[in-house]
Amino acid sequence: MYIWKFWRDTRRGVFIYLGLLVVGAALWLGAMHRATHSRSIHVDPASVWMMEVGITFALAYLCALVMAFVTGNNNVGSDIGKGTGDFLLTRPRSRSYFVWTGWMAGIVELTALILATIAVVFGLGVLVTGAAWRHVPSPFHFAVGEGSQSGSLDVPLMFAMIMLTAAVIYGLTYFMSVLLRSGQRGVVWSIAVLFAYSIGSALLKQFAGVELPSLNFANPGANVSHAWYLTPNVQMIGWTLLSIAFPFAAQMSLDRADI
Amino acid sequence: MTEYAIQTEALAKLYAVTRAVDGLDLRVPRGSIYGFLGRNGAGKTTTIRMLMGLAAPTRGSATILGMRQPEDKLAILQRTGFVGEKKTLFDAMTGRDLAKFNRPFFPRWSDELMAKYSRQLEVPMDVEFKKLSLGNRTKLCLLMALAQGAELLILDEPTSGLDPVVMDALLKVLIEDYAGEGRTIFLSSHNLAEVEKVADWVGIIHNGKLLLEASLEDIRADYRRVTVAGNALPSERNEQIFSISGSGDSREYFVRNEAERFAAELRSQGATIVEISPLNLEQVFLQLVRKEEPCTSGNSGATPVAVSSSI
Repeated sequence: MYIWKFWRDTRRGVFIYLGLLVVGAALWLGAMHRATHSRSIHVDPASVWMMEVGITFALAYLCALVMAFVTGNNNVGSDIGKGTGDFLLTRPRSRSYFVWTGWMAGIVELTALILATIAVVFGLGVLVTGAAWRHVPSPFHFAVGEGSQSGSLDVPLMFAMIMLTAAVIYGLTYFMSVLLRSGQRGVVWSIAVLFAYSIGSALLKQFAGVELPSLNFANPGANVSHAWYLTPNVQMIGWTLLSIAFPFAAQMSLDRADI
Repeated sequence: MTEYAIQTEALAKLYAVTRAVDGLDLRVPRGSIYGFLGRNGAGKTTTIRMLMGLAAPTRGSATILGMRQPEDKLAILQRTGFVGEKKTLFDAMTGRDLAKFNRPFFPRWSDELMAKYSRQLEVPMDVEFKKLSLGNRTKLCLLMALAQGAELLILDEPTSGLDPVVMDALLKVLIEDYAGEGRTIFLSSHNLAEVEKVADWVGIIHNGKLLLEASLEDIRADYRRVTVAGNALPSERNEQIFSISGSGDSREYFVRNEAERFAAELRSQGATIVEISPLNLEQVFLQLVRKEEPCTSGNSGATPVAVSSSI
């Protein structure tokens, strides 16, 4: 029933997002269509495929970040902040039930929205430019860069990393909202934490030569030269564990709290 | 089955410098309507929050329906209906939505009870909670608790802010319908008239301590004000005298029991008994909690001793 409540609370946002996605994608489709017809430049299939992947990745990444913050602020913490904690937490279920059910429901919704975004943007790209992957030798792996800066882009891994980025930010926002008992404050403090981390790590690198793990982990190819570079699979495991650590932390903070 | 619906032993909640609840020993008989009285900030809500598992006691224990809190918290919650101080439910849900949300949590949930009480209390079930008046919000909160089929209802200030008509309707449902079936109601309030109307047991809490626990029947039958004139009148409180007012040659003694014997003793010492009059709940309450300042010759305060009659 808590899942039903979660869906009830978030469904309006989901429908608005899907509506905007379809409208936005249709506008983009129109613009792309006009652009490709007005220029008669020959572009090789590999570049077209790179563009399709790149645009899909960029849009999905951006949307995933926004959705992670939005989805993460709806939870038992925001219910307590709205004054309904007395009611909710006197239903005969443990506090961890509300934390984990809410977190799971959010992850499922977030995943569905990201997949929908990828499907719509990518589908439209293919519709406009054609199925370029049929003409490239390796549609899922691209060599990028030159010399010591060279690396490889693993397309499925890139999209998996979008999901993980979203899951980590969602988890952070979720934890902050439970800790601070307010969805809005949860979002603000999550953004503040991410900013503080980015600025702090940049300052440390600049003045002390110390490198912290990069937040830009969604693009494994870009991290090759980083001091904390780990193989993509290890990174994925690490970020998965981090994303699961947040609901654990939320549960611990709620279990110990007086409502 | 224990004889008490709620029993606490030295229950305490301490905040940094405040003793919100300080060694509370409550005994709420099964089947009773128990009025938990106290001024604002006396510790009523904190006690209730500990009973419901919303706050952890600093020390002491609570047993509810024979089960220990927090070890048996989920079983307690399944059998206990609760209306909190805030009376806030989910803003965007109607009464029907709330029932749909609540139903799977409670094995004894009854749609028949919900329909019956919503008719009796005239609760609009198709209006979003945020659009309801305070009275209707309170009624809806109570309705959700009643439809659970709970054995025990814990209500924190259930009638605060309600107009007399709504209050009357609520109390009627509680007394005639719910409690009539032998279930227990524990309600906190500072509305003495309301409690005197519905309760059969009262507990009075002040500064986190239980000053009195007694049946209203005992209070009506035994508690007396003895007005006395004379010299060298006693000025100390004891087990029998719970409060003294007045000074010099004229005093009022508030006694728990055996007022006639007390009067006879004073008479034998040369005092004149002006009047022996019964006390109502409000007078007892005021005598107990009106002053916590040190006793003076003109104001001897209250004796914080809990009195419990046999059930």
